[in-house]
Amino acid sequence: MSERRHRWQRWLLAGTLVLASCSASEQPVPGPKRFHRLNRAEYNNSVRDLLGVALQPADDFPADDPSLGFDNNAASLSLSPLQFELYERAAAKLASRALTPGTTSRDQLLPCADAADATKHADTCIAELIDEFGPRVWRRPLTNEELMALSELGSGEPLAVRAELVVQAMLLSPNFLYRSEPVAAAGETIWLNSHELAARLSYFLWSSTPDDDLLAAAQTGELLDPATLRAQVERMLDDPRAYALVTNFGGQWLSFRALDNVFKDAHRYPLFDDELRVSMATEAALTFAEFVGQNRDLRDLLTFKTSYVDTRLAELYGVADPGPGFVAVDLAGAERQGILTQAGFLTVHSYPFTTSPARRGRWVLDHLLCQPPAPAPDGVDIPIDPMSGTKREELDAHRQNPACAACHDSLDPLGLAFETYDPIGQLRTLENGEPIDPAGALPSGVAFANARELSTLLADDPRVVDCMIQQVLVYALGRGLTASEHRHIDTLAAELRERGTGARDLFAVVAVSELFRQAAPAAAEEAP
Amino acid sequence: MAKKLSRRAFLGGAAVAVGLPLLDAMAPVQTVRGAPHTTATRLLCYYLPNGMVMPTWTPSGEGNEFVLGPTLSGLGAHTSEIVVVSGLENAGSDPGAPGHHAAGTAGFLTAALARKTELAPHLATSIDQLFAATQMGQTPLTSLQLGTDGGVGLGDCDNGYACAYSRSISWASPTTPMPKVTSPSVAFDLLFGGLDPTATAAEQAIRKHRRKSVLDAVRGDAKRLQASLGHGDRTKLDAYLEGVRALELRIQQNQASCAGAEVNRAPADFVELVAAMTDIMVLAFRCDATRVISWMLGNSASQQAYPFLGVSDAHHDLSHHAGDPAKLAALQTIEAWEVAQFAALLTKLRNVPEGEGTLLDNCLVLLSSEISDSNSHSHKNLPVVLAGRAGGALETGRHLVYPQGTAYGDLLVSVLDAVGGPSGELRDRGYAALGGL
Repeated sequence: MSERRHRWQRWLLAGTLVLASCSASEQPVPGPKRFHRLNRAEYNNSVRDLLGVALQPADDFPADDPSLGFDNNAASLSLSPLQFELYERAAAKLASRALTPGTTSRDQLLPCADAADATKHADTCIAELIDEFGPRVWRRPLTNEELMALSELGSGEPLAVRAELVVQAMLLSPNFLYRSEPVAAAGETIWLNSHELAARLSYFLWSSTPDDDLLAAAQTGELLDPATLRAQVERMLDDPRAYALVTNFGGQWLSFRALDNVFKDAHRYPLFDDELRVSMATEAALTFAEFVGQNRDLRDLLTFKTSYVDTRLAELYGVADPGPGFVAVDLAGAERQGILTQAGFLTVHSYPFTTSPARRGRWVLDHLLCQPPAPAPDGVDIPIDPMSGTKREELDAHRQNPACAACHDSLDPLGLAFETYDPIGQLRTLENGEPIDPAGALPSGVAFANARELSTLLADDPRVVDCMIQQVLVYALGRGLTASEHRHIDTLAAELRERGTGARDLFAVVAVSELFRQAAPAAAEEAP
Repeated sequence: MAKKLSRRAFLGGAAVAVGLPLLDAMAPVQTVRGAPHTTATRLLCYYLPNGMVMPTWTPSGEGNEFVLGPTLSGLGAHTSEIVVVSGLENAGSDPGAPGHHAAGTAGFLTAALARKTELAPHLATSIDQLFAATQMGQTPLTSLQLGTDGGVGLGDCDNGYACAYSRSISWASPTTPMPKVTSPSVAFDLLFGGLDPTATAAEQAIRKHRRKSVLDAVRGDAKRLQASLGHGDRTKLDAYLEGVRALELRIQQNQASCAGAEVNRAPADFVELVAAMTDIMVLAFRCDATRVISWMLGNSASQQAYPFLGVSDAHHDLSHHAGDPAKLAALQTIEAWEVAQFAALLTKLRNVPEGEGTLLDNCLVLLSSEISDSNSHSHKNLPVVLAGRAGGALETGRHLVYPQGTAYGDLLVSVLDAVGGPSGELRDRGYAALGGL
């Protein structure tokens, strides 16, 4: 990079434009492209890592529409004029904050503005800013045309103004707001270039921009070497920024992000308040963080007995108060086992006033087995809240209708297993005065007595590991998989099993996979 | 872990007291030199989620002789300024299969059928945006999309329909949903912020010039990307370039000034949020910052709870009432409250003198929901209220009852005709102006 700077300076000082002979990765390759806008979390993280300023401008942006379970799906990330204006305002605010005299960011962005360097020509100063900051913001080297355009921005204005305009323009540019990647025609395979791969990697593992180390590996092209890629992936998973996998992947997959938006009837469930809501989300996040951090076997997500409990959750779970903070507590005696019996999960997949066997069962089919049930027939989207008796009785009657039975035969036994946990995940034995029977059987005929036994059975179901790979691929690629891409799942699952089905390895295996290093096929934008 | 809870979450869990000490956004207009004076027609589209209990909604009587029922009785003070329209069916948006909330919401301003997809939504340009296109450059902001809820949720909004259908009623094109601003503070700054009253004309000119130079630079970036595209995905870059163009037009204008205007920037609860957004809508029109607003009092199939009304169930869950009188009564309580918010808006619009009449006289407000009866997800006999006289184009004070099955899309044609927007696209799809309106 420093060599490039020197070339650049020479051209500028000579006042002549020399057409560069860029390396292959620097030349924009003509052809179809796919544009992937940064979502709110990615924007905030990127500007934090690029500028080090304590602003989170994306908090003011409209929410990103999720699809296929995640809010980083390229097809759903559109842009309206109003959003664009918010981007402009954010860029102006960020540039002004980052270039405020006396700040670290200013010293880094504009070192030559210091008194000692005052003799330096303003053009040189701006050239250095573009040269140093540009490739970091745009995640790739700039072309000559781009360098020239930026260097002319605000010409005639004072240096401080020029610098601000340059930083603004870089942050408002589509080259920052969108990741662009090639698209492969049918039957064609295109490998991402090193910079495209670096960006895909950092937004997957960190929900943020590549750091200098990763950009350097992209710049030399070494990132395309499998050993270097593996080492980068491990380094990135060690980095605290990988916690984004917990909040953004885990939060959406395990749905604890949705706790923010859950309402419960305060009369029936007085325990449920904002403090408990946060405790529930924290328990789930700490659990997932532990699995990723310690590379625990994914299947243990369904069998672990020790979870993170604070005073509020202890009250809910009926165990001794562990004192301040979150403490790992054995909950086997409290009839808890795995993620499916955590309070947050049970709370999200319930109604405000009653449980929902259908929602809980559906999550298992959708998110654990990747076998989503067909939508309900028209006009039957009705929560069941029996005034007397139990949900099992209501649902048994409901399944007499063949149109309902088609799906509910598989949904109900799964969902009814969780009936001993009320809408905020508290244990109960009775519903409307009648005893609850959580027992059931899988479609295969294997019986279970309760949700814990069901969880154990699911842990042994090979589809769970396959399904997790599928979910992580959708998240990593920001798109659905085409029919022909599904076959990659088997290969990756075999590799993951060989390595011990660790939660951290799950992300590592996907990050180095062929699918991850290749351009999306043209058909992918419509893939379900 | 620093788990941040959304403001909505905070509202949802807490008991909410009614009583709103609001900053008075409706202070007498303090005319400033150069402040805009207009009597142009404004369009406001007002969306309510989850349908209506129609028996308590529909007025009795027809024409000029009608009596508002329990749900609409809150509009009593505005009887002469509204038209209640009954009998319309939005068959053009009825998916005939699960997804009624999403598809109906998508149809509110389009009368078009939403393509069933999670990934590549396709609808039609909404009427507010058809009208907005004719207003571009007339006001600082061409249009404004507001709501109460950006939407969090689990990524499955309605039976395989993209979340955009459930969360956006304004569509700039068949493929470009327009997300809403849900923060009064952000909305206010968009409308009136960034104006330094002490800046001289020369300083303002410099600032404009600089902003424009940044836009020129990023337009260049987008054009270069476009040139390298081949036949790839142009939609995203087109949307980006549209954003550049709209902002450029806006910068050429002077920022709207609205002397003395302020709103409650940090509402403490849902009730205050709705009130603050109502104030913003009135200010935006009063000060001619925009002439087109769409507003969603909740997203499609909203699960908003109304504990402050004594209704503790979530709205959508409740809307599947299965004929239960208690649930119907609770729903109607919510609906009457929604109508009261609408009435408050109309009152505030009426309180602003404009030309020979009031601001409300120069508005056309269209209120409806994605469905009528929520239990059956019916797209027939939709609840519709028009308010304001659209500058004289609309004769108000009536209840119009159309034969069942009359196309809702015809109403959209009439709305466009009344405000002077282009209705050709809707007519091409087979809709015609509603007779007698």
